[in-house]
Amino acid sequence: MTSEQNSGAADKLLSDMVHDADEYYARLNVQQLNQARIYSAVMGAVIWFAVFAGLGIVLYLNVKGPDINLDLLWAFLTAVASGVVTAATFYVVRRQRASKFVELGALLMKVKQGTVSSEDGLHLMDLMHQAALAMRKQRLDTAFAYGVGAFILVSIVGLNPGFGALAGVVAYLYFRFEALREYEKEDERYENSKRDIILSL
Amino acid sequence: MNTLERPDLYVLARFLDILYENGQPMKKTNLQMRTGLNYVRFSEYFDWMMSHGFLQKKVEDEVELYSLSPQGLDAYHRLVAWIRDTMKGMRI
Repeated sequence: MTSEQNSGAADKLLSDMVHDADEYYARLNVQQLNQARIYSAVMGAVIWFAVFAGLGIVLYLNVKGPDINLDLLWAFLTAVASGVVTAATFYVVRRQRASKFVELGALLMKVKQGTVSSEDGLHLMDLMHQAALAMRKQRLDTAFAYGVGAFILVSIVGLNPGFGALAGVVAYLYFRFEALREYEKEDERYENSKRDIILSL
Repeated sequence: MNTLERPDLYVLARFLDILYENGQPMKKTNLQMRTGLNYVRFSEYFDWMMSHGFLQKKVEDEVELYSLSPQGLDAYHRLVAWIRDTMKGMRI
């Protein structure tokens, strides 16, 4: 390959980089939004169910006669309100995490307007990596959701909240451990690859 | 003397970018100004690049000019290719 062909290839790689980063950023935003919606909906539903079931059991044990219908309606509405507030809170918290991608978006805008250098490419790559790690960290929340799910399931099936709590803690710790391990592995792989490229130059 | 044990990838990329984009040989002072490094830091990186054969020197009218050597050009291409490959391998 001649040096002119080489420089053409490098320029093409640099412009392909921007294209890749742009696609990645778009996918990141869509995925983050979808995850926020799904997660907040699931958490809202879980809280709605837990509150309604809890209040229902209390009413069943304490209220007799026709009065229970009105109380059940109140219990249902309280559960719905709790579910909605929970879902909204989780949605806002999750969406706030998208602010970590703002820097990537700003850099992309900048490089799309001018020429791109390998230093810009490194910045883009680092920001993409940070964004990927932020997405991975969200799995810690999923671990919490699994813990709550296990607690509810085992409490209902086993009719024992103590076992439910134990199962919830075990499920949470296991999924948290897995999420953290994957997170650290990914980060280590990335740092090693940076070290390797310096050594290979 | 080369005192750099592990150079910063960003600074290396900046050196390579400047020399690659400039195309023509340039004075050491101009290179230092464009990298934005202080003299001590610049000298460390400059020496590191010289010791790795990334720079070639030519003297014109008793002025020393530096440009990317074929090894330097190859390093630049490998760096760019690595960034692209790493980006492609990134999953959300």
